[in-house]
Amino acid sequence: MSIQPEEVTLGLTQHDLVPDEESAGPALSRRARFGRGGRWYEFRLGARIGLVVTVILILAGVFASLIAPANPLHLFPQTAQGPSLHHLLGTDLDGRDVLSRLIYGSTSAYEGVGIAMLVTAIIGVPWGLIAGFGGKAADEGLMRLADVFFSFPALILSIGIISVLGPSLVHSMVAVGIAFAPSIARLLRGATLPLRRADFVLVASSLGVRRSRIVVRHVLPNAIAPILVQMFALASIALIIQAALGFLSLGAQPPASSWGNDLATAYTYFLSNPTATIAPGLCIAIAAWSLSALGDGLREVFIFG
Amino acid sequence: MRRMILRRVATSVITVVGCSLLVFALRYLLPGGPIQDMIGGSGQTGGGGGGTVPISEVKVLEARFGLNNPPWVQYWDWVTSIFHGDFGRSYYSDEPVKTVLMQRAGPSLELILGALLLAVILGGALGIYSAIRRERPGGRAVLAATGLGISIPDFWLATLAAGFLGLKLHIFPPLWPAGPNPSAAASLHYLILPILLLSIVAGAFICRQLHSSMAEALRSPYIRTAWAMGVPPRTIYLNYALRNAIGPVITLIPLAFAALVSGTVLVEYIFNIPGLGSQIVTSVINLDYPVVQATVLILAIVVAILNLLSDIALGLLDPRIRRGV
Repeated sequence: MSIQPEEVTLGLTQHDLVPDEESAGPALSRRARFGRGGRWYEFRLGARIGLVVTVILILAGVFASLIAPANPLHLFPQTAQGPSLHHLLGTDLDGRDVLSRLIYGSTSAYEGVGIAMLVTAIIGVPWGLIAGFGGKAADEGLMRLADVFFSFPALILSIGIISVLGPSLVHSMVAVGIAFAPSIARLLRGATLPLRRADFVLVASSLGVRRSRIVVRHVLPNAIAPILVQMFALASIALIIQAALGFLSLGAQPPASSWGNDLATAYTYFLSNPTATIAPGLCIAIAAWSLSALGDGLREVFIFG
Repeated sequence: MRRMILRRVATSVITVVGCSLLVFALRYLLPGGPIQDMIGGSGQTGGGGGGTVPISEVKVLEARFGLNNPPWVQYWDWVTSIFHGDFGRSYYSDEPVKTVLMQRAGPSLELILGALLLAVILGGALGIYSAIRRERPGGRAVLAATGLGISIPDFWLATLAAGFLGLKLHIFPPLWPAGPNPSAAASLHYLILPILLLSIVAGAFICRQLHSSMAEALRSPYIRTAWAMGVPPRTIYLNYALRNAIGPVITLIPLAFAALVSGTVLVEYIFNIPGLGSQIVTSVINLDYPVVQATVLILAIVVAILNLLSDIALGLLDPRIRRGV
């Protein structure tokens, strides 16, 4: 949560992507070599574990109603109990089963991350493309705008946007998506700059292809690799920020299950049931780590591809 | 050098102006407009007062708050009043926002500055150590620990620490005491655990960055020559390698500060510290926009100033940056 998107460059710094102006771009479109694929065991161990864990958690979220031992909203008479045979992780202050809430929390966690990444892509990709392919003025202006957003920590910016929209899962994730968009924009702009002088771009434009079509059909697929990788790192941070916002009661409102919110309320009865404080946090940490490990693995595929 | 400073100052000013525009515009994006949120009729959670107010009343209020004027006039009025120190009045308590902020700035400043200091000192020392001993288990252990430090959500760590160390074992006080604020010195006692927790993430970043820069410096040919010529190790590490490695770390400090600010919001919430972080949260829940606006703006200005200072410091340290940008 405290990690700022611009710090997480996953080894691809701006220096790698921004060229000096005289160099010619790549000759061949990278699409020809895109599908390197690779055997599953060629991925790093961390990335494989990350993939498996993420898939398990997402499936748990999707099939929550089948897996969860109890209804997460049902109030059992035993309130604030420690782990027991009926309630493997105990119950919360109002008597809801902690384990079921955790499983349903997985649903809202990954839904939230999905929304945030969608918003980031919708805002950030056009931003970066226009900055990379528009004129100098557009580039300068759009990047200055990105700098303005960069001066805010992501959490504070999200809180500010939530103050306008009102607290809810969707609003908080839209806010996070907006906060991350400048980072993607900047990365994409850096990736498209060397492609401006690429041979395949020059050929296409000399054949009379409209610039917008060149950008969407030729440039974008070649520039997308670092973006995809960065999206996973951002997704991991988005998960943590979502949990932090839930912790501050600015995300999904109770009684909806949310890992962050459950963590906050569990703290109030910490002495009765410490497991309820440990469990949601563990889920958040594991889910965030798996997403970022997955991104690390993807990075190696694309760099060697 | 001077030209570089001027250019940096100009970009910082532009950034700050941009932030102020953003913060100002945020208020006017509210559904229903600013008068509505003052009355509380926009139907969101929190807020106070009734929903419907006759149009004539709204017009009167609009005139009183100068909302009739075109947006740029309103913006200009807002900016000039800020230069006079007037940030408006809180919707919630009707106190001047300045008073609210000044009251709560104390604990937050102690917290952030303490954590920054600790992070720099501890992170710096551990970074240097782990770079020197990077092949040995000691250095590797430090690196692994920092990897953990970056990934663990800090609010979780804070609740666990406050719970186990504070509530269960009573080593540290888990909560700020109720009643009037203790003096700066006395409050330090309550801030020990929060400062420690906050400094973990920032310290981990600084440690990693210093480790990687120093390791890279230590691999370079001029260091190897120094070793061969018999320069004492301490001189090599501190005078040669460290001087070259410190650059990226200085750039990292404003980012660490931003991370600390986010962390402060959460830590203050957990430990019930009456600081600016918890103020932001309660203001957002209460839809108290003037306070949120002022806090976010001040934050942006402080971050911009820190970035400027770190760029200047980098220029002072590294002649290459002074000459070509």
